[in-house]
Amino acid sequence: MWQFLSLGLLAELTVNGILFGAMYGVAAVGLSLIFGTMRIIFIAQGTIIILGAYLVYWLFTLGGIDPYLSLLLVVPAAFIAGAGVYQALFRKAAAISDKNTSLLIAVGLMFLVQNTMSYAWTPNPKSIVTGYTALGVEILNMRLSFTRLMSMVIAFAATGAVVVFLRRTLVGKAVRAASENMQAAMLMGIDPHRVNAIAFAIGFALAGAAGVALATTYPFDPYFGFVFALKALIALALGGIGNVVGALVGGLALGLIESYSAFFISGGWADAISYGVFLLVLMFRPEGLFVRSIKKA
Amino acid sequence: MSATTPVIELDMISKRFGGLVVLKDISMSVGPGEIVGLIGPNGAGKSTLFNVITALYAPEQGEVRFKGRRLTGTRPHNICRLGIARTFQLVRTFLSLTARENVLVGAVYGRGSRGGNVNAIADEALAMVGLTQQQHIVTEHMTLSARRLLEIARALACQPSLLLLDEPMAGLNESEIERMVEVIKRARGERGLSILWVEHKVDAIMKICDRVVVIDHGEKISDGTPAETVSNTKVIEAYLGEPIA
Repeated sequence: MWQFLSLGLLAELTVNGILFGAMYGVAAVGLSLIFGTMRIIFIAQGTIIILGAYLVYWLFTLGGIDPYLSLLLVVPAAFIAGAGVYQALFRKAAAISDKNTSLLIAVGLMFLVQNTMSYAWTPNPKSIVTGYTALGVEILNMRLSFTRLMSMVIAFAATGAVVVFLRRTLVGKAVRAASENMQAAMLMGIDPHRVNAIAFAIGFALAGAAGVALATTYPFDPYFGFVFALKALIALALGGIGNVVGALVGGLALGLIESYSAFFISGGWADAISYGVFLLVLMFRPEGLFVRSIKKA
Repeated sequence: MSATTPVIELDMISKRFGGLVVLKDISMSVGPGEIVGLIGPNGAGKSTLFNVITALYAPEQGEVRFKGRRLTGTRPHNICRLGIARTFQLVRTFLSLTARENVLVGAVYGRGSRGGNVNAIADEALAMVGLTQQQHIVTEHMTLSARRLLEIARALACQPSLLLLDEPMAGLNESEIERMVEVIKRARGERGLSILWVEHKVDAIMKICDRVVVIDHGEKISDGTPAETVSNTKVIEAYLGEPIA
């Protein structure tokens, strides 16, 4: 394939990698937040993103609501659903120190949602076709897909909003305090159920935003969510667990790795290579690639 | 609540971990404005006692009363809001937050329904321990002694009536210990706080405390003034071993 390689193609591979990676990143940010306070990998995150995508699809086909406009409905609905799911399913399990119960509930939730979606909408892939789906934007001699560009904007905006929330608001500071040391936070008056519910609410809201981004750019089916969660997990490992900006950067890095390896090696190897990178990072830099070495007190 | 009601009262507390008895029938109290030292050899059960008071552990037997009110079944975050704040033996400041943000967490979440301006409360707590200059430093970059002082400021920002100090002197050098002693004296003097203080630095305890409680193997072996404590034969045996002859 080297004879096809040009600077323009290289740039296009890079841009596409970043565009897809931004979606991995936003999924990883959700994982990072929930892991922060709950200490579990919320494996259903990818499936919730797919549920968000179906919701967008449904609003579009049945209600005729523009996918980007549906952000205004999907994100708040997901936020409330996240808090509700925590209260209904995880509240009891979160209080016990053994985290396996919470993890198993997440696995159960994933299968339940997957199969419900498959029953409701059939396992066949769905996609949303709007007037602007095929639209391209010319930037520096590159033709970029408008919807992918929008997906990247959504991912960046969502992550930015989370960072501002965590850094600037008092509730955000409480979430950070609880992520660092739940026991100390609790003994300073922070209600663990409140911060867990907030982490879930934001995690779901991010999944809603990612659902819009996904639904407008790629075909999706009910079972794609698990793979998506695994990719988000790789992004999380690359960026360093518990680091929100790192999670997004990890997602971008993974997108690039996949994009380059699909071209330079082969499409079939892209997944094997990204999981290989995952293992190498865990073996040699378990704190993440983008974290300055952590000093433990 | 009469003037003589203790701030905190432990009534026949027992705590087991499996077959291991960690606390056995412990009864003790701290009165309003009193500083009580809690000492004992390693593994005597001092930290477990703190964890029972803050509801991290539920005792098998006995009850804890705060200002005459039973604490059984109260969740840990509400213990703080009622007015019991603590520091930790292994410092647990929130490392990614600045000193001021750490104190704000206490001022915002730790005070229950007590009113007031959280920023003013944070300012005052930081000033009390002398960390006003360092308030915008991220805690990760602070020294151990500054972190220990910060934990006290964070606890003070919760405006407690009872302060639990878990070895605040551990790892500090002589001049840092002197500073810590001053801070503890000020906290009691200016706020009229009651303090229960676990410490291995026995000389510091003897200098400041109104009363000293000694536990050994989960049982209370002495409860009296510092002078009474040092002459108690049980205490001497617990620390130095039984006399040979």
